[in-house]
Amino acid sequence: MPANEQTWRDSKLMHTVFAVSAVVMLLTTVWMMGDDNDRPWKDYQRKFNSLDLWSTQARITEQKSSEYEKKLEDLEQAVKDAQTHFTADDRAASDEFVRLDKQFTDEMARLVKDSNRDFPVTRDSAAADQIPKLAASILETSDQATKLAASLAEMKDPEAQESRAKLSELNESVRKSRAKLLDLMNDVIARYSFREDHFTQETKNQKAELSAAQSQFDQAVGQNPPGQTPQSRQKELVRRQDAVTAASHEADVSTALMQKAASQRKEMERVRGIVTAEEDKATKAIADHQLKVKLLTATADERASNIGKELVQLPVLDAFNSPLKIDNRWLPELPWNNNFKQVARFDRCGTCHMGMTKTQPGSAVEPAYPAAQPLKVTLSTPAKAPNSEAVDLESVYGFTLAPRGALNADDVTIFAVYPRTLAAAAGLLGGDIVVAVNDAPVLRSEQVRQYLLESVKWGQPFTLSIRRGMPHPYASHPRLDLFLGSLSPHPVDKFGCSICHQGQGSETAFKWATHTPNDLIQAKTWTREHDWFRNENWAWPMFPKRFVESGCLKCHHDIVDLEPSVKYPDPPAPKLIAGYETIRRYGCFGCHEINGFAGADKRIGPDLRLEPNYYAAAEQLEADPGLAKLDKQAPAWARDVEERDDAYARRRLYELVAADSQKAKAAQSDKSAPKPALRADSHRLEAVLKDVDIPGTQRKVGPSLRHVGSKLSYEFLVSWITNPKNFRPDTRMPRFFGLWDHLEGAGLAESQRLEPIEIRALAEYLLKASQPFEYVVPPKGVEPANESDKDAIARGKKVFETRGCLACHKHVDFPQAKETQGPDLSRIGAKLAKLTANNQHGREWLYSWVRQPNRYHLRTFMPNLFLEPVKDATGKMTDPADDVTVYLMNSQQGWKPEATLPRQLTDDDEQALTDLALMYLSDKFPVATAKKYLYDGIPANQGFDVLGDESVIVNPEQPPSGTGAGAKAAGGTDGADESPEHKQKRLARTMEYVGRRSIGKFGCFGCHDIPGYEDAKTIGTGLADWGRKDPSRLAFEEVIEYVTHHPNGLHPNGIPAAAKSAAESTAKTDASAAAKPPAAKAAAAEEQPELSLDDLPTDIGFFMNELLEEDRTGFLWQKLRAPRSYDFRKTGERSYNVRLRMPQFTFAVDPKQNQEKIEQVMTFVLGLVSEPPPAAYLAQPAPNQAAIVAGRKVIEKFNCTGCHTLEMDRWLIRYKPEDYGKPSKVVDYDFDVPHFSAKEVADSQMIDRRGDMKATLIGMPLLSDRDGKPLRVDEDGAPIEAGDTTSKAFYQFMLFQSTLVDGLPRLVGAQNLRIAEDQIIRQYPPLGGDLARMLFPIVVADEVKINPAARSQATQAWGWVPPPLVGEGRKVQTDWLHNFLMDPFPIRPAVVLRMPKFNMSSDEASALVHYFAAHDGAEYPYEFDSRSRADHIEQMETTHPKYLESGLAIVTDNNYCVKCHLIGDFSPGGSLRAMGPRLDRVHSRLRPDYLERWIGDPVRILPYTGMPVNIPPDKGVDQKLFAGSSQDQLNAVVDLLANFDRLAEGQLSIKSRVKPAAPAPAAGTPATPAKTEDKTPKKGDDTDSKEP
Amino acid sequence: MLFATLDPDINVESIAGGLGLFYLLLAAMNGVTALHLWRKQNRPQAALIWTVVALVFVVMAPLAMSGDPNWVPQRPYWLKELSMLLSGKTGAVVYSLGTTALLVALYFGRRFFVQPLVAWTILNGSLVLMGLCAVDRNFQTIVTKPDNVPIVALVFLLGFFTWLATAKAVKNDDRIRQGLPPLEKLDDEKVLVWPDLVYTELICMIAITALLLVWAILLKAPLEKPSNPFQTPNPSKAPWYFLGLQEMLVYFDPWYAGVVLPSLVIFGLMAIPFLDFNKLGNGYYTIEQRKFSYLVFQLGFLELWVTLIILGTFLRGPNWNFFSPMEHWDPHKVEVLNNKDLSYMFWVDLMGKALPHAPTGSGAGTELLSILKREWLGIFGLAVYFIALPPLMATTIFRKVFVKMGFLRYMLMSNLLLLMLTLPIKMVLRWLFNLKYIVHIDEYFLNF
Repeated sequence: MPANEQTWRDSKLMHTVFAVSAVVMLLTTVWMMGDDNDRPWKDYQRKFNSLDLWSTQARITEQKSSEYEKKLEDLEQAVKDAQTHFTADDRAASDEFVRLDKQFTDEMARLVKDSNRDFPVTRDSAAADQIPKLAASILETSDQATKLAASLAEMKDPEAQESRAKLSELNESVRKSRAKLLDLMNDVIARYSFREDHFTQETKNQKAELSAAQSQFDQAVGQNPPGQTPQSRQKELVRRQDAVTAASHEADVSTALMQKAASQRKEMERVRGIVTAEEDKATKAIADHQLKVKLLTATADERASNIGKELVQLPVLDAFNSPLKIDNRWLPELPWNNNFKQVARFDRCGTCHMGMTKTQPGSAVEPAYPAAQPLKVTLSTPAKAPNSEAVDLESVYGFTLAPRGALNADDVTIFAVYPRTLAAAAGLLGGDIVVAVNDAPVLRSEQVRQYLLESVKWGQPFTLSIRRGMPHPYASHPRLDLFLGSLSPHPVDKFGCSICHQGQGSETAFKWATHTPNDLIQAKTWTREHDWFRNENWAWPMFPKRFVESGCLKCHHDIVDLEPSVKYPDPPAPKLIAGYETIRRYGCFGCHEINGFAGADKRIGPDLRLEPNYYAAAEQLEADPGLAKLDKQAPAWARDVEERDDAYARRRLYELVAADSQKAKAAQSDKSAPKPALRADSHRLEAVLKDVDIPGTQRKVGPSLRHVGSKLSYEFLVSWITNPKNFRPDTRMPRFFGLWDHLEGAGLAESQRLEPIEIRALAEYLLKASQPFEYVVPPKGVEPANESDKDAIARGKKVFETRGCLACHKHVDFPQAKETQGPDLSRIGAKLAKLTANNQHGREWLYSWVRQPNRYHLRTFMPNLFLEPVKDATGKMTDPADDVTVYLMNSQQGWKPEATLPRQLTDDDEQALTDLALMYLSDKFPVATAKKYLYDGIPANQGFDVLGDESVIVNPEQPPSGTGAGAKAAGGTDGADESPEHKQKRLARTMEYVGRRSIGKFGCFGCHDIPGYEDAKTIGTGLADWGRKDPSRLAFEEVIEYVTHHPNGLHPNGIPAAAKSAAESTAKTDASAAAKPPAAKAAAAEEQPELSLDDLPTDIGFFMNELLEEDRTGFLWQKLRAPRSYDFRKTGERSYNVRLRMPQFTFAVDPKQNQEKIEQVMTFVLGLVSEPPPAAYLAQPAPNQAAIVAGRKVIEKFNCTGCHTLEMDRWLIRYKPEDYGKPSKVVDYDFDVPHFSAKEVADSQMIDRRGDMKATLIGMPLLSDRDGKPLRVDEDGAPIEAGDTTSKAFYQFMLFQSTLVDGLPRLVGAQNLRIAEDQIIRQYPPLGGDLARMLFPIVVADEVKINPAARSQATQAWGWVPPPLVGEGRKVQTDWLHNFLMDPFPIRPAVVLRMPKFNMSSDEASALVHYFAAHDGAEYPYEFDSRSRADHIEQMETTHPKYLESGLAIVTDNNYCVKCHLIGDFSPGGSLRAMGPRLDRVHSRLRPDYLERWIGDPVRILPYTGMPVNIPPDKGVDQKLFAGSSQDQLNAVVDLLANFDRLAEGQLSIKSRVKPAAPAPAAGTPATPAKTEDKTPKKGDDTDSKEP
Repeated sequence: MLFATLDPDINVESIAGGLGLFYLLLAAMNGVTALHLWRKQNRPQAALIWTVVALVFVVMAPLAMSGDPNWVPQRPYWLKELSMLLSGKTGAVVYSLGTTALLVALYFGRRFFVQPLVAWTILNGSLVLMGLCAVDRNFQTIVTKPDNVPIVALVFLLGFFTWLATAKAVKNDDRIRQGLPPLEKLDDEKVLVWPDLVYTELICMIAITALLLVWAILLKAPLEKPSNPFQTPNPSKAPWYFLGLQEMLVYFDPWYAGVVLPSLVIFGLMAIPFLDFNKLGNGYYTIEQRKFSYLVFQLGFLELWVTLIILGTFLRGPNWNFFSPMEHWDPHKVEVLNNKDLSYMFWVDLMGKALPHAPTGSGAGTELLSILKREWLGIFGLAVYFIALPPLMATTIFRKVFVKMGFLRYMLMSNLLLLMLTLPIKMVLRWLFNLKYIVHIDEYFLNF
């Protein structure tokens, strides 16, 4: 060891290194803390706080307008005046004050003395004694002043001046003395307060003593110490009891004293209050006036920054209640599923999005900071230049500019907008950023002043371009009526944010919260500004804005509850609903099951499944001749299942089939067992007929193909299957064949070779399997018209137009019809014609279909329209059904099938057919066997039952024994020595086999009812949780290569390219790609311009990027856009039959619309996540709401809204007070007087900052009877011609619901409101009724032909078209409506068409009935009718004999009901248009309440009705008819109509019809049992069932 | 990116800045070296060369910073193709054999490689190669993954320390040959605990803490998605230090690769002090005096441990498939895995018979016999390897060692050595003959 002090390393160097490393560590530690402290959310919070402060200050400024200041001055003056106000009453009060003081002091002194309290009660005589004198002197001075003031008016100027000085002197003196007086009084009162305080304290102390004593007593009772004698114990208890009593007494005394003191003080204060009354009132007025500003100022102070707040924002110190803090929202009931553990949800979104829940002052739902958007407003200028010199924006326009912008200091921002000024009228708001004035950009505030004040033409308005609202994260939620608010259905405290939006709610940094950009531009911006990246590690990235509605599906499993409703007229989820609608109509669920249930009682999402195929199974069974052999009843049961969905019959059928199936199994193993009756093929129906736990509800969307042979020809089928769009461009049937854009080389060649075979095979199979159909025979007496009969065509066209066809169908002759529930019929004739489509039975079929659609297809949505023969004007019988058939047969548009495939196969085709069949067959048999089977058929007796598709190649004949067969089987089917007969049979078998397999492969049965496929299961991927599907489980294959490098990849199926026009690319795909040889395609590939994602349209770029990122969104998009493209370059390695099968859907002919629809469908599918939250969060509507939801589904299913209006138009209007004048006076029955609550009236009278009032109108604008469009009129009520832009336009609005305008009630039917176009803020369209509106001008025009005067009463024509069903629930009886829906009959003779009969189940009808009742708040499912109680009528009879008969007298009086209405066997005759419904059936149809209101004043219910008021409330009808008040008369008529059956019963005598029977057997004599028992109950049954 | 005419595997946007800095750093590094050579060592010619190198880097830096794919220095495409060619088909063979060859070359050429300028050139070369390859999307993704950064550091640190030790050893060997004491003996004085030990440690602690802080701030913890039993990560990788073990699983049954071998590694390391009888080399670096120990260590640590870690980290991708350095980690890549057991080769391929199987339902004894019959060759081979080989070696190559160590120690040493060598042997057998298991006794889960 070295002895010296030398160290190994240089210690100086070591110190330096140490110093440096220590400094480095210090710096890194500081860095770490800084990094930790530097959170982006803090900046957002600071900025939002300053923004909020800015807004508050703006509002303070707005409040403190010059008007405000002036009023404040006035109020302050009033206080001053009150302070110099002193009257004789005040003096008297002063004297009273002193008197009371003396009295009270004595009283109190006595009391204190009596209660032995040691408390001196003295009087403040020093103060009190001065009071009377002072009061007297004040009064004197005050009187002088009053006199002087009175005389002042008459004085001349110099004198007046002097007097004025004197007066103010006097007033001042009064003010001072009065103040002194009040001080003295206060001194006196102070003593009373002191006394009160003393006794209050004393009482408290005494009560404490009492409690202690009580507790000691209680303890003594409970304890029993040893050694204590009962006596001493008793003594002890008594002692304690005495102590309690004493303490209680003391407490009572003190309480009494305290109460006395308090009452004395109050009394003294009251007397003082008499003196100060005036002043108090004035002071309060000031306080009230200042209250709002004070509150705002307080808020502003709270929000303003100060040193203390700054200090606690510093690092470390921020642990102590920093104003910047994370907003934690703990939602343990809505956990995240982290696979192994449910983790409570923490939503911290509010940390940055601080303004999310803020509303505008005074509104519960208007967002305070709407998302930024540009706006243009028109700012009027004063007509003349303001005369004052110093003009500013505030005095001229009523707004001020802020010194600095709210978020960016440089923004030219409007600060305060004063109410009822030009700026307010223009709709400007504080915080609006002025971007341009009359398109001249604005950069500085001075420019605005310059434009608006200097370079202004007075009287001419300015256009201000403004930017309103805030960017995120400062913006408020756009739908605070639906979300976040405590009154909304989704309060933020219960739901948080991420349950709907997803994303990582617990994160506070932008990039980690997994925001999802809506497009690539946003993605780039975010990456630049927030380091945003695609976070693959969070399984629930936020929905991009375009899919934000997907989140709704998680809880809203019924979907239709997301449609606009009365409560939420703004559609809550329009895109999702549109997607649902598309899915529902295109029947995606035919292939892709959307199962909303995981087990019978667990709901996991929307449920869109096909209904059980009972009816098809029954039909198939019926076609089996063995059915009748099983049971005589069986065919009848089958029909019951088909027509009524009868569960009993179905179970019986099931049992039969199951038993027979067992028999078949037994027969197979045991040859001697009895043979089954049914065909082997029918046994599989056993599975279909079984009960299902929760059956699906969706019908197959395509037409039935069960009897397709009776409808279509081979030629048409082939053309249709090849490309449905060729015949009907907007068809919903997707395209299966010719989708070759992605194919190349051998794969393409294979498709070109085999697809025609598949098409032929499909057509052949469908025709072969088609079951016989009996066409409807035209009724006797009418001759089928000639197809070219012009009259018949014209009649048919009219029928088509007016009988409701247009409610569901489109036709080129009627461009106004839009609805597409049914197909476009413009070319229907070509499909069914003999000439074009070689269809032998087309016309017969069409006639049958029109007459009775469900004869052909049991589950069709097409209703029976009851087109019965009618007599025309000339008395000739015509058959409208035949006419419409002829008309439709002539609707051809010159269409001819484009794709034709001859039935006769060429040699190549035969080879292709065999190859294809072999491909299928070799799945099940070794290739050699398969070949052999194909050649000779499967021998019938080869030992096993051939089931399924292969059963069609079973050959019952023995194969020709010998050499040929086997050899050929091995060598293929060259057919060298095959007999023509054998060949024909072989090909037929093969064709049928391929047809069957193809149907199975493409899943045609998902949409169509096809015989033989009753038990087929959906072929596609289930979608119930597709929105959660892991992208790694999606087969992207080579699609990215396809879309990036193949010329067809980017623009398949008509999506507009950047380089090419949409038309070109559509043409490219439509003209089948086969036309283009592969070489040309390759050339096209070279021409393809280099594109980047940025060159694409925004939406396509977004989805393309999603695809490139291998996200499920992109997958779905491409799948919907070009489903087969995933086969790109995969055809080589895959067999032809395992290629993708999804067809190409075209949701809209226009590519852009198609793209939109794809996005809508995606919104729906991405929302299917099968992650239901706890039940409390699921959308579980209240019973009424649930009935509405269930009903809406049925309404959509049967397109009720095609004809009927279910909700009327709803208009929001704004108007100046008194714009609408006063409503005219009407006399009404009491029950018709509308009632509005005080709040509603007050709301209606509220004038907003613009100086406007608002009202909501429900009803409909009057339509023009010429074109059916809303009628625009000028000021004088004359219609405005098209093209006239100068006249100010008005609409006539017919109210359907009484409302308040200007605080005054406007009644239904009283008077149409004339509404200026610019008064309308918002128009919500009606729900349904398109057909009614379409028919309206037509029926008017038709009527005018007969009766030229009809045009003047055009509104009555609303009574001739399908009626609006508003209020239907309160109108009709539930069981009547149910029966009517199940079996409709004509009600109104005036209506040009009648309610058709839908193939609706009883459940569906009930749902509709409940819908109406629930919607209108009526009773359901049953209602009690008090008017038809027997004792009601009896009671009425006592006061009014012959009650019902008298009522009948009114009804049958020529002046009243029978003038128009049919009743019993009576008909009023005359025009049908003027005829009313039958009155004898009213009792079963209408609810009596409604009846009363209706007869009382019909227009209060239906403003357009032609029915007059028959029993006026003021006059009534002739007393001779019915003696009593008008209300009595009305009651009588209503009672009569409600009890018409009772009255009618009285007219029918049964007794006279029954022959007297043999006397009954005496008692004890046994009756002949069999006979009587057999008969009696039967009779009873009959009568029972007839009675109601 | 979409439809880009350029190589789609190139990604420069996100790393341009970092890459520029990297080249600047290289320039500075070489500049300092040049300065050092010129001023301290007075070698102006060498200094000039490194100045030129530094200047090249100075030019490369702004090119890299431009972020323009046309300008950023990048790996030539053939490099990728070469690496694909070398290892695309053969999997880990080229890599493993290559590292062995490299080790051999380094051993024999150590005198050349330890020259500072050679080492410096190699360092420069490898850094430039890394820079050039960093523009490759796949390379970049893998190398810059926060949990792989330590492995990258490990590569360079290990290189440096290996170089340092070898350089000193070479010098010492020269000195010893000349009869001089090793370098370490020259400074054989004792030093003070304070400040020479504790103070230094303190400084190191502070520096390391600072480094870790900076690291933690700059590279966030690479957390991934919540674990999901239905969707396991692909590839599922062990922590980096276990990746060598995981690699062994490719060749062995888990009981051996996962249990026996790791235990033996620990056991063997513990046994070293008892086995090592060579007093030479204590306290100084030498190779010549401890050739055997040196080689065993280099083989066991560098090749069988570290290179396997690197292999597992950088070259094993989805499905534990082998991916070349710049190959896209495509989860759909499928490798042929038609491996055969030795018994299968013998019975089926060679003898043309079916594998002997005990008839179903036969007793344990019969079954055992049939297993023995089936696997006799493998069992025999293993017996030869473990039982016959140690005595054989003792009488041949390890004769001197055996004498010095004595029976017990020798047997222990030779068996540990043989066990260690099972890994490379099995690897070679797998590559050459697609050998799956030498002994395959599924009945008892006993495979080797």
